[in-house]
Amino acid sequence: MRHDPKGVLILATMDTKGPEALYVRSRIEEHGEKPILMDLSTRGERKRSGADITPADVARAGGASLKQFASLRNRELNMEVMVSGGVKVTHRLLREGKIHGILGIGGISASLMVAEIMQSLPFGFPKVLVSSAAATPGLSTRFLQTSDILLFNSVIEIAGLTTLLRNVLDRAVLAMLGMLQGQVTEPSTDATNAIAMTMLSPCERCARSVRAGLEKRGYRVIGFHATGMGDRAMEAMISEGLFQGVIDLATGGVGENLYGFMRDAGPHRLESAGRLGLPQIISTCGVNHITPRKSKYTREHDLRRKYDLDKFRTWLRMSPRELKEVAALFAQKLNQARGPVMVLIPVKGWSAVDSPGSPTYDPAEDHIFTEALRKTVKKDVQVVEVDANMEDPAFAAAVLGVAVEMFSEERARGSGPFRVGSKK
Amino acid sequence: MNSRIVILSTLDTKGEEAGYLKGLIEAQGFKTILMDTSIGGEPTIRPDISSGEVAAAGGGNIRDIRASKNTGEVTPIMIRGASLKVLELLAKGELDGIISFGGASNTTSATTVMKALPFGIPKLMVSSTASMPAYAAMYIGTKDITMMHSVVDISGLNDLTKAVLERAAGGICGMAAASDGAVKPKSTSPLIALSTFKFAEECGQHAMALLEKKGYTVIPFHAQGMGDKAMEELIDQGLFQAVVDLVPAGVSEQILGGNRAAGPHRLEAAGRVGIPQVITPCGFDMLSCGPLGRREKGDPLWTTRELAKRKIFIPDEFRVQARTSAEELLEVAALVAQKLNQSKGPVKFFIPTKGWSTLSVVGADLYDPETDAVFAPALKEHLRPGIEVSEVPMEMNSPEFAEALVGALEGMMKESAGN
Repeated sequence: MRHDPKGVLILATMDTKGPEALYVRSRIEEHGEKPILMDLSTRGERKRSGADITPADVARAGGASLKQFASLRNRELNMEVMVSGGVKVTHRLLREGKIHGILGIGGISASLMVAEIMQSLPFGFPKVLVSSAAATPGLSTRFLQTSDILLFNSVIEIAGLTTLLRNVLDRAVLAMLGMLQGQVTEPSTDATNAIAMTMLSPCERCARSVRAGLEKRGYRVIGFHATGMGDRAMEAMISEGLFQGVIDLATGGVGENLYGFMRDAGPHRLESAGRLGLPQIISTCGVNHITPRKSKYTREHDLRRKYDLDKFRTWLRMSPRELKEVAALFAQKLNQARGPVMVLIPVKGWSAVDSPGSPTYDPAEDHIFTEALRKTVKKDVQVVEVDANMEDPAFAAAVLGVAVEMFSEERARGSGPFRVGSKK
Repeated sequence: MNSRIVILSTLDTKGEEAGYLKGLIEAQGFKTILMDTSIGGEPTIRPDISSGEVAAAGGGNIRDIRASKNTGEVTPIMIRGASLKVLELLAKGELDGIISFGGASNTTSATTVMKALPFGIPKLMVSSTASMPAYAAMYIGTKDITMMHSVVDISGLNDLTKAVLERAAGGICGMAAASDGAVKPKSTSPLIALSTFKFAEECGQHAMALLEKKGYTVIPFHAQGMGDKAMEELIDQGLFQAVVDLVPAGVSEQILGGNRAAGPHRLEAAGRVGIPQVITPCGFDMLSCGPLGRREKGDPLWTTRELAKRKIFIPDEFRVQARTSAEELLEVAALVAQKLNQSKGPVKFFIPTKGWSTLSVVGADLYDPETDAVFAPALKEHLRPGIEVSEVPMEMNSPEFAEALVGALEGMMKESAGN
């Protein structure tokens, strides 16, 4: 069987990681694949580094001549030029069919640049980032964002080809090669029957049951963990036109964005489906709780009712004032929706956390949100209360019933995500 | 092929997905060991190691665990049990790699289990919460965990979740196929640990080159908090013969509240193990207080320490360094001395008086020799006899300074070997 060499793009700053990048290249070659080495050095290096694509090539693609580039003292600006150039060159290679995977190495700065380039590549394209800063608080998130990157913590500095570092680089290369071999299911770009669904562990039972029901009826359900990043990724993928409908069970990211807490899903949460006119069913798992970083608790936070989800996660009960504010924000967003919207609220508790006996269980206060929302949404957004807890089979049945009706109606009207806007 | 890959999963809810992953790994010629860590109920596919066995190993009873409503209490039992089980497999030579997938809860549990395994064993976590602020770094900690962000939730088998699991299977099989298992220290070339970061880069490079020329192997660690913490752990594992601690800033950042905080036990392992160490004050001249937005938001670190009034170095909005004060240096000196006074091995402290990093040499943003000057007398005052403090009129990153450090270290190593 003839082996078609696969192209692997290697990203590194060779002014500081030259030997390490060349080592990675030689390992990939030894395995019979075809490495292409791109040098992202930001210091305007002129000397030959042994890269296939030099910093000058990258800078030029980024819109700066090497001379301009070398004279720039602003490191951040240099990084920007290299990233935008790197993105352009990478996408050209991708279009030409020359690369099948991308592998980057680096400390903080290089990892940031490499990650940004990787984030511009489509879901499913193998991406490995070996970083000595992988576990740096704040940075891990910036490296991964909403991209399916495999982040490999080198533990030791990427400096000097010691046995330990070789071991790390070898494993990274092998992981990449392993991902390149064998068949990988091509993610479908056909939105027909594809439903996006948010969930969290406290509404997992509901999510599972709704998913099973929809799958039985021929839908594909793609789940997103609504921890701030997963739901952000969902919004992005909805905007790409990958879905026909949305079941948004866990919408806490809206309030968390308002107050800047940990599940912050960005300023555009709950907007994409409405913008595209997709049918959406919305519920409220996690909306009535806030999750400030523990190290940033104020005295007032200390006094709130709490529920420990696991050793890292604690949910604090949202105040009535906040519930009203968040309801207003929900309404503002949902009022923009161009497609059908239904909000389903389980009155006996919005998640497994909100069950009798739990310190944060308070259906009466939950109702403040429901009332405020009802008062402020436009009239074709329905707010329906269901006499159940989020995790009760009755609630899942209600969601499923509405979903089946809404999604099939939309299908019957032939209004897929791409056609809604154009149909007059 | 006899390589075995352990799959950790909660089979009460993820049986279908775990079964798919198992099939993929086995198709590549590996054996799998499927371990059920679920606390909810019966597995939907048959595990090789049941949740009952895991619970028992962790000192619990699966029936009680399933009945419990307090997940915060029972999860640690499962984690402990699973950790012991994987270590047992490792000891028997039946573990060449470990993989798991899941959301927030399972990522926390599975990465905790992976952390029990030594450096070099392939560890792959497929997680839909990989990029969650505040947790992402904790999941990885000081270990060589590879974290694959699944973006979508691994619930149900559809084209997206399959694509993720297929790549993950390829990744772990690729790594495990050629894995030599845990890296063990080689007796031929003595290993030396070295902490460094950007503002001491040239000193680090120079010291490494000198030591390597003398036949040592130097393992550098990024002193950004996690890297130097990992160094402490590997020192404790007996991997190193000596330490060049260029950047012990994890100590100062810890007590001052900076981003590079390395936990309460930084600067202790080498002394405990009794290996020679040379140390500089590099990094004590600055406090990592980014991102810049914290200044505008009136972050407590900025307001209580009045950082806005200080000299500040801002290479970009994320990495912001404020100058440390004399008062803070006195506090740091006392703590450093207290830690070093416990050491069983030889210690030498070198202070480059013309600047402790590229940021505090003449003309640099944090240049402040008067403040630097309070450190040495305080350190000397607190240190026990036998720990020498040398003040040398050089810059941190001058080649001569690196030579002085290497010379001193080698002297101590020879002396220790002679004893």
